[in-house]
Amino acid sequence: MKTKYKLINTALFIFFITSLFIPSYSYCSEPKKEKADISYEEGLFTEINENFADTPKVSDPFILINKAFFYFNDKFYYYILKPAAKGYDYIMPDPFQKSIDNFFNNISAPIRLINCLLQGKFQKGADEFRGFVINSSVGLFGFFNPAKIEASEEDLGQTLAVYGVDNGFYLVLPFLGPTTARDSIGAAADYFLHPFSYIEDTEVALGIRGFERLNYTSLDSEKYERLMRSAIDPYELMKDGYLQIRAEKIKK
Amino acid sequence: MNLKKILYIIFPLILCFSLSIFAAQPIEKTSQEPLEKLKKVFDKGFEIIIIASSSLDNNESVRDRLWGIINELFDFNRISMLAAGPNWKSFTEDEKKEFIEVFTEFLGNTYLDKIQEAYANDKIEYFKQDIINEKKAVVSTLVLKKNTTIPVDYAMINVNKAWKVYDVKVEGVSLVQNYRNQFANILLNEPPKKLIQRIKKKNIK
Repeated sequence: MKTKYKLINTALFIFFITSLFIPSYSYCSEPKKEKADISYEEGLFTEINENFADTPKVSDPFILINKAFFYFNDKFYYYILKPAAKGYDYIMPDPFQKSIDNFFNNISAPIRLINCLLQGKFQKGADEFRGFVINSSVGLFGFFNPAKIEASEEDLGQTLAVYGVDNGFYLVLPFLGPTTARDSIGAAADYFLHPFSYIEDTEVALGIRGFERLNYTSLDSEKYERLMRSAIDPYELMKDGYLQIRAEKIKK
Repeated sequence: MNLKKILYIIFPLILCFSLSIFAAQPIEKTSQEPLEKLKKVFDKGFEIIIIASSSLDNNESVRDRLWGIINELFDFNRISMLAAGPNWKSFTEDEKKEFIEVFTEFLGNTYLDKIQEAYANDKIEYFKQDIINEKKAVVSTLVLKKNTTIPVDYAMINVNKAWKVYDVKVEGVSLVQNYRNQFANILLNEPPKKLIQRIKKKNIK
């Protein structure tokens, strides 16, 4: 009986000592740690701050013309493209829109394939090739995507970038929107690789291009509007947004 | 006798051990995983919208409640400073305060518009978290719209044991970087006061 009592007594004593000891230990250490944290956070903030670029990297020598075309494209969206896309979206069933988008994606696969190869991205190129073969046959001319391939989004502008060509200057084109000297040259060269460019009747060729744009816009017809709502300076938002998207794509 | 001696040693050891576990637990709990935090805030936000839609509250009171939640998630002070960029130093103390105020209102409102729209039409998929180190992380989400998918990444920092968002990347476009360029361009020709006026005008609309 006595030893049992002794045992419990010592146990309680040790428990009491340890319970005193452990919290006081963590109390002592915490304020010290927080002090260190504040300077660490400041360091972290300056580190993050430095990760953002301070000056726009691309010059804009034609800013007045660019702004005029930006304004034109803006009005073109609100008065023509958006109402047309909304009407189209209303009458066209969703699966059709998706299928038409697949078709246009598939038919430009050879361009992406060539650019993958030019950039030495052979795995992506192989995927594009496989996708093109399967989708064109089993996928019924590309209207379906049984290969489950995500388009690589490679183009000649990016290929030129990989070879060290700079953006040059910023440009806004009527109907086509933001681009740069390099990317517009790339797009023009890509144009000659596109099968639709060999349709002899230019009106039909333009009509198909317009339809492609209409279908694409109808997939998310309010995208441009959402973007503009978050703008303080819409022109600069567009310019920086375009350059960021391109930089991201070149990295991929 | 021997057994008792062993008990004398083991019993306090077990006590110490279990106590240290109890002591360690609350410390770990204070710094939640970044993805968990983001998801929790979104779930809370959607809950508010659901309750509001069933009780026919006016939009303004719903907004007020949602504001409390996004303040918990976004580090608006830091976002404002980052967006002002190198020009931040040229702001007076009053201008700094006012800029943070109006820009927070602007960002919060555009973001809440998107959240309310997303709740009605889209689905958010929590994709993955990429913990760069114990202070920095990126949480990737996908917004599934009717016909398209938009990747939205949240750059987060761990400040005072809480993960907070300091930048949002939509389709690879950093919003902080984008505003930084917009503001840098405005501040080339105009004083900070005018910039604040411009944002204020947007807030009234």
